[in-house]
Amino acid sequence: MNFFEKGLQNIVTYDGYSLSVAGMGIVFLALVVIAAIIKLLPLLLVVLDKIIPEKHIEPNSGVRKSADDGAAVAAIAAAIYKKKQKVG
Amino acid sequence: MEMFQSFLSSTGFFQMSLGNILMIVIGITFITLAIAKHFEPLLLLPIGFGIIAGNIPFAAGMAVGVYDQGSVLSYIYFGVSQGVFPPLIFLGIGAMTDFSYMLSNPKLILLGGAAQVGIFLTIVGAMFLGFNGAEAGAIGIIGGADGPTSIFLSSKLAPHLLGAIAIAAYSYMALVPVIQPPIMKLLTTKKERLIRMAPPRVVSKREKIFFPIIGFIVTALIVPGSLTLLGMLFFGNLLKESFVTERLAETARTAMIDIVTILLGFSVGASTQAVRMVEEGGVMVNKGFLTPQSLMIFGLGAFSFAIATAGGVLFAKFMNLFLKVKINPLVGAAGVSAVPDSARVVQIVGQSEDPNNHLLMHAMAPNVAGVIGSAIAAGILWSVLVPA
Repeated sequence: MNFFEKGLQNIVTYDGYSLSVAGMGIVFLALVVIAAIIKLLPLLLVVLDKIIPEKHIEPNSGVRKSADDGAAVAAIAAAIYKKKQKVG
Repeated sequence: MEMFQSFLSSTGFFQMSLGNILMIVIGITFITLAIAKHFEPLLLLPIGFGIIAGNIPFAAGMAVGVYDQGSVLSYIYFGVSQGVFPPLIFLGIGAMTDFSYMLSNPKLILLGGAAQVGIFLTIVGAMFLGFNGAEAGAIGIIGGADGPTSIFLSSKLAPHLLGAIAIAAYSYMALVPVIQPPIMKLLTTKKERLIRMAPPRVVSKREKIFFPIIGFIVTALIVPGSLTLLGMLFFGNLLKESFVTERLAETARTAMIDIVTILLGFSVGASTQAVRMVEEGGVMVNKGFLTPQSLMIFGLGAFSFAIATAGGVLFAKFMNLFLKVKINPLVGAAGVSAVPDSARVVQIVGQSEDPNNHLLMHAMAPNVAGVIGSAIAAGILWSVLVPA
């Protein structure tokens, strides 16, 4: 048996062909299912949004909203003003 | 005087073989490529240094190398040999991956599947060259272009080939910018490379949160063998997208993945001892790195990468036969899961034809799908080929 025949025989011995075809098929199947779920996900979420409306969660970016900053500045300014009046 | 002679005979200089010198040169080459050419420096530098460390000869009986019971390096290598490090790296990858490009255009996921053809054709090729089923499976996964997956699967199926497979996988990942462009240009026309793709839609926060949960359940149910890798990938992604565990996500994608990468890279490198004689059935057999098997693994790895790239590009062209809005077939090359290098290569090749064509975000979809696809393939091969 030459090298070529031996190689082909080895593929048959270890079910190389069926493993490759079945393996590729299963990978594709899994990814097709994921793709289908992703496609359907927005539709499911429309229904879910009607039942539980989505709250907008902002990432913890460390940047404060300007409205909060304004309120905080006003509160601090008022406190300093009152303290100064008492001292005066 | 005797003590001095004994010391001299125990030095590395005295025991150095030609194989060790060759491996040290390879290690220095890796380090040079990392520093001078910026080829995957985070991987090639630790691996390169590890190769040098693994090929400094030492006296027999000293517990120094990764294969010596009780040595410090053997404890670090435990994370590789038992497949502990790869899932931890997947956790970090999950915590840094943005799946929104994939979620916005789910048909591109199929390209990540098509590129896995490299894995399965290489398995046939490896069997043809005389490797058994488990060895062929471990070699084939190199085509997934995913270092952690390659290490995970070879630690389960063919631990004796782990060093060669890991080095081949990471070497080819570093060479993605060299290997892929000629294949991409060969298989596409200029007109195809100029195709512009519509901008991806905005993906809602809820979609991003639901996807890792549903994605994990579905993939783990179809292929339970992929549970470890994909479980960590999707878990890491949920940490990121939920916004309530930002600290955990930050740790997973920074400190933790960095620590594991250092330990994995160094110990994989140190496992490439040029010659390592092991007794097998009363006969001493070389289980070191410098064997004809390693050369074949490198050859098969290159073949696997090329086929995977071609598979993704050709499948994109095939999809275009049925699509009204065409896909730029270059993005198919990103189906190999070398994240984000292959997506970057798509961007560069696309921009070489049209500087205003931005394909990066589109290429990220098959790229992350490729990560999922190769982990699924690894799960299939593990469940089918695991030695009894």
